[in-house]
Amino acid sequence: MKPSVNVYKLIRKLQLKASADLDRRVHNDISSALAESEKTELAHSKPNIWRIIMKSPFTKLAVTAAIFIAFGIGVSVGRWSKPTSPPHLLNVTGYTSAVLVHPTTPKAEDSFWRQKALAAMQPRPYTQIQTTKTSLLNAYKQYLKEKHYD
Amino acid sequence: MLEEKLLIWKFNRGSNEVLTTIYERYKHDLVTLATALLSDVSAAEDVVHDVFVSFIKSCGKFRLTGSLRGYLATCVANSARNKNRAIQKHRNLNAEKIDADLPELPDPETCAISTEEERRLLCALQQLPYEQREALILHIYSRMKFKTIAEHQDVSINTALGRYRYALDKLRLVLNGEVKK
Repeated sequence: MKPSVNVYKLIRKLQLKASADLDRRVHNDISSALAESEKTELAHSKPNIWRIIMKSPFTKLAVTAAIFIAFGIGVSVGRWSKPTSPPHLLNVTGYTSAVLVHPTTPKAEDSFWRQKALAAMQPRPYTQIQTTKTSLLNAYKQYLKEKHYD
Repeated sequence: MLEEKLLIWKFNRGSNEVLTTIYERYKHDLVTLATALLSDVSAAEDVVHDVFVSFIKSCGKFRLTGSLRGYLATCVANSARNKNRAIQKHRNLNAEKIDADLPELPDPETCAISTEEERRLLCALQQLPYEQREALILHIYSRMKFKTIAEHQDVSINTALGRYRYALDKLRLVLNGEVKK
């Protein structure tokens, strides 16, 4: 007898059979797992766009490039465009001129408050019309009050 | 190899037939491996069942780098090692009941161990330390390389070779002793 050969062959020849119970358990698990996966597939049937984009390196690169290009265009447009003066500010200027040339206005040309009022009445491009009008009226009221006390 | 790749491709697409095919193709080998490692048929079947459940759960994202048989064998070996640790821990906790808790091979009539020769071999394997038995079975039965076994056991190749050699010598001794009787 050659034991070394026998041991090697014995182990190689070893073949046990899976029991019917194991077969039944595994087949049940396969069926249940597949039923579960079908349910999950139905629940997630709508494709996730972000996942599709991030899956492929090419689309990832393309989306990154598109974002950069859009950002660059936005910056360049914002840099070279000039802010347009709103039309209501022009009306306010006209209105202030009318006030200044009103016959009841006092004639003190270079007084401090007159300069202040003129400065306040200058059109400001980024202020709202209500604010401009209020400040104009306040300045004018202050001017009148000052003149009255003088 | 190409056939296995095709099987995995179909498996990832959720094919029921492929899962059944894979199970039917490898179930006997895996049960044999687990039984040889654990020397307990019911524990071995539990291990194979757990491995297949994990395998089913990986459906859709499974990637095969080597052979499918090797992958499943490694899974069974890992799972058997965990099971063996749990059994050892249980035995240490109940040290008084050691004799009662020793795993026994069931009768050949009731289980799948068909021949007396196989039964003798499994009894002889049971007497080997677990690491030596693992090295021997993985190399001879699962045809794993010593490098892979060493990585699996987290030891050097020389240690894996030494374990294999010791296991072979001891198994020869045990089987020859039985023959002499």
